Amino acid sequence: MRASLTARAMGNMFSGAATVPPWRGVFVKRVRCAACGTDGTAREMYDAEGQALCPRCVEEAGRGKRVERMFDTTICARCGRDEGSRDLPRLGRLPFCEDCARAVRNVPYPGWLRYAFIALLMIVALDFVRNQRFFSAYAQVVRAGRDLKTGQLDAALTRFESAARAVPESADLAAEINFLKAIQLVQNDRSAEAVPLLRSYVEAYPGDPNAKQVLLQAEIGAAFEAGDYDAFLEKSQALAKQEPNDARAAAGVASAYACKYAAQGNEEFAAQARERLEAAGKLAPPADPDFEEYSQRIRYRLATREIISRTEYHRRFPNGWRPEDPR
Amino acid sequence: MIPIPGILIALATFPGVIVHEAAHMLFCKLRGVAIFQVCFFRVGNPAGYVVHEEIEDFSSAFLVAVGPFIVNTALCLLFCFPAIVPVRIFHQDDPVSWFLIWLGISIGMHAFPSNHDAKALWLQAKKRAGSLQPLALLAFPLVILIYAGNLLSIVWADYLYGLAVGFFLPEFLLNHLL
Repeated sequence: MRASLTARAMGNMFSGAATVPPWRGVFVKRVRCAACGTDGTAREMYDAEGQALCPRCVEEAGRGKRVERMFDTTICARCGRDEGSRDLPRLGRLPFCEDCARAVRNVPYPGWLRYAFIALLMIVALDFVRNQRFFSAYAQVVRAGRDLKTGQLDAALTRFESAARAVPESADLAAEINFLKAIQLVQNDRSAEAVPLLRSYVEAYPGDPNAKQVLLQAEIGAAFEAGDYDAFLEKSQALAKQEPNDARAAAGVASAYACKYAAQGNEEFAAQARERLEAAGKLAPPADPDFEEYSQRIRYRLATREIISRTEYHRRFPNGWRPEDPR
Repeated sequence: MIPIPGILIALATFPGVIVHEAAHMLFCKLRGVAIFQVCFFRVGNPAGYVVHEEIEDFSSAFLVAVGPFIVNTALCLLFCFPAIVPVRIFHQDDPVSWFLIWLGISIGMHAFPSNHDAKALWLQAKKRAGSLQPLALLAFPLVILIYAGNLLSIVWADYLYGLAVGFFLPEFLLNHLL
């Protein structure tokens, strides 16, 4: 495309802008038409692959050939200044006087473009300043994400709260804070308080499968805390069905059966609990300390028929429980 | 994919056309290449153009050809950056931010050099390939990429590029810089 445009531009320059000085005719280069022999100035003629043709002959004699306007190497292609018999230096194919050569090498940007660009840069700068609170909030969110990856829930929650102070209108941040608070409550054996927070989170983000799973875990915890072991078993079974390869979910069913055994003394429940615990153990990675700790709590419940919270268990057995340990 | 006439796309994203031509012009000026004619935007095909002298120096030809890719990409990122966090992360509807996003993506969409730029680069690279100039050798795969990008513009590859640079790159950078 550029080649044809260049040719067009060259044509324009030759045919248009040049103002012809009165003395030009004395020095201009003259060329003879190869077809009819007419004599003319170089600027009036066409070059058809090396053949000079006048405007009358170019249509016929130039057919099928590459035709370009000829130019007079003594006349500036831009301003039309005639340098007499002196050939002008060329830019590409075109002769240019020194002033015009300098001008085409330093074509300025038009004013409207420069001012528009400056105005847009100012808008960008102002928008950066105006949106600074969003950037600082997002920085906190990113760091909170890193805290969560390393299990630092409290630090993550603090960062989310700081972000929410910067962007109080963000419903997403408020929801995230509630979600993290709910997880914190579950971890502190206060699952019943976590359930409403998680329900509202799941309502707001129904497509988040992780949130649904956390809600189910909180409901399991709430049932345990309330001593509703039927509900504990039912929800644990639902979780184990959702996560058939998860050792902890499978152990949750064992835990629920162990609770029912502890509460009612029915050996059938104890047998179910042992069977489920053994199956869960096969799913767990070897020597997983978390799973081992959970298994021992269930074994303690089966051995003693005493149902205690995780916090109480750790208070009593900071180094873990062994069957030979006293209660 | 909905086919939309190129002229409508050019009208809707005219800042990108202007920046594309301004980028060609910038590298012409930086490398001392004579400019004969510039059209920053018009209703037609092409929507803009820069007519410059034939460039003998290959590095200048390379820079003039790929200039829009550098400048449009950089400006796309710059214009979208302040607006992306409130709009994309915090879902805040703000006209100034949306204006900057439109501006940035429009500019990013026109980052690909044209097929004509690719052709000019190809011809220049062919001349220099024998001398094993690294830049000339780099130009060959680049030309293929440019052609592929322009060909894929019928399936909105140019828009997707603008979107990737303007909409997703800021978040990626923030996640790694913060």
